[in-house]
Amino acid sequence: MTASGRDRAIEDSLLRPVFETGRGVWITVGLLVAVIAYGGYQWLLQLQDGMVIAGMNQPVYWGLYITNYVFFIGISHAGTLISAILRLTDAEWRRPITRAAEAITVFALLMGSSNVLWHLGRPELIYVPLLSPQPLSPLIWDVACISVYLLGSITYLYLPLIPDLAILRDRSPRLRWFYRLLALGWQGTSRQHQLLERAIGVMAVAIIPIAVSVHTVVSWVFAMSLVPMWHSAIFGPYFVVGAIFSGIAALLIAMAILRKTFHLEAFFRPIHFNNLSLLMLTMACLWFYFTFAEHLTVWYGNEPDEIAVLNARLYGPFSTAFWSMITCCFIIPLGILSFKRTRTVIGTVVASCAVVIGMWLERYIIVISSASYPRSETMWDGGVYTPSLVEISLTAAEFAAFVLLFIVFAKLFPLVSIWEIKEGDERDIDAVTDLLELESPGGRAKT
Amino acid sequence: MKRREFLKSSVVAGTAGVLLDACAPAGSEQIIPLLIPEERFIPGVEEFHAATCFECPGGCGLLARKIDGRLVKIEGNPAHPISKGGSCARGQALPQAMYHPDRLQSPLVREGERGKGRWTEISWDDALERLVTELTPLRTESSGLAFLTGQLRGHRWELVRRFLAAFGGAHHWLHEPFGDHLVRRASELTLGIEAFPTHDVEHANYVLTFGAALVEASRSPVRFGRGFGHLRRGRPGQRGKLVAIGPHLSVTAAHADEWLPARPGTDAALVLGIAHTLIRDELYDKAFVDERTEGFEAFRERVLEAFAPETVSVATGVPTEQIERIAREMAEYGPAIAIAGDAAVTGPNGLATAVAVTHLNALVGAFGREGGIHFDPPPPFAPYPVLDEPFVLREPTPLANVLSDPTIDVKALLVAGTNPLFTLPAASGVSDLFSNIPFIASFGSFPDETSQWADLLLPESTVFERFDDDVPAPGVGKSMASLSGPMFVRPLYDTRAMPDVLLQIGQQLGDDMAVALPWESYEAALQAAWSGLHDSQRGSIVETSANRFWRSALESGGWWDDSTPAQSQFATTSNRYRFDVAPLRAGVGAAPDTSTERPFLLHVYPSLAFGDGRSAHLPFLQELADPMTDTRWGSVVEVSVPAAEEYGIANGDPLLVSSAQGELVARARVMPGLRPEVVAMAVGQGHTSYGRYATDRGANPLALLPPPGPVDGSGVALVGTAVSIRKAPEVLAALPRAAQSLKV
Amino acid sequence: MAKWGMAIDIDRCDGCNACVVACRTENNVPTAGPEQAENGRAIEWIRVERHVEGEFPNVRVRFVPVMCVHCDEAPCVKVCPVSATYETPDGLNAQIHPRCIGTRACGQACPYTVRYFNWGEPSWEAPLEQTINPDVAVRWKGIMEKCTFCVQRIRRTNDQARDEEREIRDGEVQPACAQACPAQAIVFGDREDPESAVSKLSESPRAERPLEELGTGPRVVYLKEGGWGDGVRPGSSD
Repeated sequence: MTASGRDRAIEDSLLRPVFETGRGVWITVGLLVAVIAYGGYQWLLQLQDGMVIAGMNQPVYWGLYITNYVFFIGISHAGTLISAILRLTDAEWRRPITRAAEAITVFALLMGSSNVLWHLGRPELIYVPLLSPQPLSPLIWDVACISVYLLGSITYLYLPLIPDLAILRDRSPRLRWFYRLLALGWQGTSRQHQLLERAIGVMAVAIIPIAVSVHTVVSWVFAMSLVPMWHSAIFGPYFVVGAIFSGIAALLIAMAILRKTFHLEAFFRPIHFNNLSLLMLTMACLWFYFTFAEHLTVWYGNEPDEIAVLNARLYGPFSTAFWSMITCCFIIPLGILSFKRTRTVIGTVVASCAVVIGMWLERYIIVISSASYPRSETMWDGGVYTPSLVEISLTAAEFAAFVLLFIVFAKLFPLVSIWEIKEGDERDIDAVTDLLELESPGGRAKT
Repeated sequence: MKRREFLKSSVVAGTAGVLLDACAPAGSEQIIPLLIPEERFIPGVEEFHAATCFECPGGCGLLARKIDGRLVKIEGNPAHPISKGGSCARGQALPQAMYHPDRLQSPLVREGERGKGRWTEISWDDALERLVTELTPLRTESSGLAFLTGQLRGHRWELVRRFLAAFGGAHHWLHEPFGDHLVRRASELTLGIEAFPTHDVEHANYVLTFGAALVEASRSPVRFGRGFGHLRRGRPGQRGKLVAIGPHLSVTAAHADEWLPARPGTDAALVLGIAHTLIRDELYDKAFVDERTEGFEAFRERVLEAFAPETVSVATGVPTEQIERIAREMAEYGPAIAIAGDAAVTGPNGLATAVAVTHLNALVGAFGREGGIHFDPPPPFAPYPVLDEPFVLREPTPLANVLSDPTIDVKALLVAGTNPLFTLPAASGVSDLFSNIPFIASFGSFPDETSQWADLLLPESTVFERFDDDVPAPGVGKSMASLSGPMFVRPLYDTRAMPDVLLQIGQQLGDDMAVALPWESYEAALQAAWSGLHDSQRGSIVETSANRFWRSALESGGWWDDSTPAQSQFATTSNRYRFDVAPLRAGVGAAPDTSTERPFLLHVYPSLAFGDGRSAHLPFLQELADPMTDTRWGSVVEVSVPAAEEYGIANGDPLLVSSAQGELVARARVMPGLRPEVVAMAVGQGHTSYGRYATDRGANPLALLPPPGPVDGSGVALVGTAVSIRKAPEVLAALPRAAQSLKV
Repeated sequence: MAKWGMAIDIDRCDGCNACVVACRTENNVPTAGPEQAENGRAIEWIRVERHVEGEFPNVRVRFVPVMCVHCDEAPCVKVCPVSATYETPDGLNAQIHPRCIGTRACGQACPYTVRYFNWGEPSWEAPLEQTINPDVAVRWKGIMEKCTFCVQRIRRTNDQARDEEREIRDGEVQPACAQACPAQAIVFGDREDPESAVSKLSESPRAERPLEELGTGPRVVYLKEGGWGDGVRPGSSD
């Protein structure tokens, strides 16, 4: 097949999900919209009646919303970070991954930030921190860093999208005006490519410290307080590691789903899953190292206020969640990913699901267990927090919206970077061979 | 801006107002006697009106803050000798009683059957007419009318008695569940004075309380609270000691320096065990005993014979060395006083306990000295005209005696200041008694259980809307009386004061009654009595005219006289203290019976927030976390740690508690401060009718008690009921979840 | 300028809870009701904690009234993103209700757990709203609130003293809790004035500042209780 023929095959494959929508997608969208609508309805109830219908109380002022906030902001890290690092190190196997990763970042940031709306007692005043910020508040640092990161991520998603937008401008049966507008007159000249690559390169370098700063300041919302087991010097790097960890897992799951749903097996190949999962295994070990160090120092130090929290986690009310977290974040990934035999696509996905669950539990435990055992010699034997319907509905709605955003994105833009694949296929014969097999008559039947 | 200008002008006006009040300490609030009609209030200008609190027997003087025409806050009256500026949780919640959504707003007549809760509003004219119609024919029947009251205070008591006497042969029934009346009886037996002793806690150094929950309920919580603060840290370099005795760690006992967990019903034995040591080791006040008492020999013999500390220790469960040490401390660290109250002075051993404690005080020579026991000289009220024959003022009959008397046949009943259908168990037969009375009228301000049985409701105004007076008992060792006047021009609703209603119908019930009750209003009746205080020309208010005296007394909240010394003379025929031994014979030292079926003893105590249940309707008090059990909006059953272990009970488990008289369900609370064989429960919840905040909330332990009878002094026996407990998970759904658990 | 502070004598406090109800009525603190109180939503600007020690029969309970201690170096002031809480010149930790957007970070940060959130709209069943003190704003859902040392009383007395061209006398300003307490366990006054009652009590050997080691600089001092149990003799004390 000629070069242009290969190019065409690549484009066809990657644009098919944009142009064709199966019934399964519509059903999924319907379900997601229903979940989101119900969450929206619950939120309206919360606006009307107040936080009283949520499950938080004194002393557990922060609940599921903050958990989801940290969780989603965490997930946002893998995307951009992976994409940026892999670009900078010029790793070839990054090519199919980057778009999905960058999209995850933006969507996760949006979903994470939405939690602020659910969490505030007076969400109509959400603009006030922008008008009169108190600069010593870690929450203001969050606002600043996340805003910059969101802008940066959108830019970093958009820039590598431009050449694909041009393809869509030329080939899409609908919304041509939209693509034309966004494509900014891209013609694919070498000069344009040069500018683009440089811009992307700059962003790749810039986005990394921004990303690191984001989850560091998110962790500092906790670490800067005196709450037992929040006030820890390692929270900054601990959260960043956890963010990357959970982000990679989310990315792997997203890749697996996209691969299956949109028949992108040629692009998301075992090597990608293998390499990312090795990265995830590394992060699992790093995460475990930090967790172990954190809990060991607390145990050894024996400071009573902190021991109360520790005991609650180890064998008190939070023990089920805690040991599940250890299992999901460390034991399962270690078990599956350490051995090549189990480090398959399926194995990777299973491990990633465990990690996502485990990391969500980690956020939950950090927020709730410390909040439940305040320093004050109070009359409480520990606060009791039970997530309420509105919090659970909004959590479900967020996850649904996250997925829906992906689907919408997939309907507007190619989920794999077409021009980068084309650029890479000159260097990656295996990928092209598989692709040709796939595109040949009867090839589809083999997968 | 506007408000500040008004405030400024109020300061000028108020400064002038301050000159009227001679009693307020420097810098205190401005007490304004003149009433500004509610609709013409000046915004932002506050007024303080003196009032008296009747929620508990304490009788604190209060200042009620009125602003923008509304009552918004209660403070203790700094000048009042009982409260001295302090107040309690129940008093602080009083504004909620004034503006309670379930307050009765007008007279009501029953529609349909009794107890169904359907009423029609009627005017006062109609109500009084109905009352007169019902009562007039009964004037010729000697057992026609009965008036059931609680321990009424001040001149209300006398007015009611006069009314009944003038009515002709009417009965006065008395029901005050936590009245500690056996303490008064003990004083009568030993000193000849039938009154509550006043304990000079402020100058004492060593205080023992046998069962009396002095700081949270009992007779005068604000005053004792103040006294104990002073005992502890009010004297630089000196710290007094408080010892509490009882099977249950009450708030008082928790705050005390030492708690002696004596078996229920054995307090008298413990007292005499202490007395034994004092006598044996000759640590008692010989001078006092020799010169001012009689009958000591018989007492001494009895004590030495039967109440050695070793014996007492077996009976009470208190170690011998502790008993002896307490006795020695009492002698060494005087002035020492002993107080008895609540559960310890009820039941078959109640009188013995009260008498034994009085003897203990005599042994340490407490009577008449500083830091000891006094009796308040009565204030020199002008007496009401003596009633001619055949009108006779009769002492009231305890309701318990009425219930056990099958010959009672009454045609009409008036009820004021008591709620026996809540505070007495069903087994007492009180509902049968009520069913058999054809006409019942109640003066209650709220639709409580007893009012639900009435045919006519004549709601009384709150204390802020009426005139009332009070002689606090116990007081502070001086001659004093509190006075309370309305702080609003009109009552909030169409309500009247009970004494006024009596006077109004008295006029209509016959000329002879009108002669016996010649006053137009209760205010006039009070003014007549208080003119005596004015005539004495001494005390805190000395004025040239009776009118000015009255105005000043209303402003100050009462009258008190430091110049009259506390009464320390005995009123016995011999003028000596009598070591009466008779009450000490029966039932001393034996703990109440339990069985294998019912192995626990129920200890019932008045709660800090609700007393005997009368304050349960106030939401602030319902939301108050109980100081010992941390319960809000509900009630719990307290079980000991060993009992919890044996039955596998954890905090919050629903328990079924049954006695021979009934059963109840409540959540468990495991308390370390409880004797192993005792199960404790606070009174106050479990109302079946008392407004939206109290109705169908919690459980009422009084329903489990045996009916009071004449044998045990006719009071509700708070100690000695045998009960069984069982985990009752089947009722889990019906109970509210327990409040946050106690850090044990 | 006065710097307000408070001393609470635990040896005097008998757990009567007069302060709790006094504060509620003075400051228009709404009731949460049975369900919400069970769920930890009860608002009590001052609460009386009990600390139980020992086992039967040697059980002792300390009653400790706890309210905002108006820290000099308040963690809540540091974390509020909109400066809804700040330290006034006279040493109070003030809460500006209209600024609060309800992040509840201050509640989480406070090591004393003395900040309260309005989970629902405060309500009074008619006609209980008649008891509302007009000197204190009624709050609304979604904002934090806490003890203010009865700032309305401080301001009123300040104004009065200024009008009368004199200084405020020691003991003239009494927050509702201090005024109600029958045992006189709560004392309020100017810490800068060495002659004030609160300053003198703060120098007692029994005095300790709660969680002082955290560096919050609390302005409330607690005076420890005396000895207890067997063998306690009445006698000399500090």
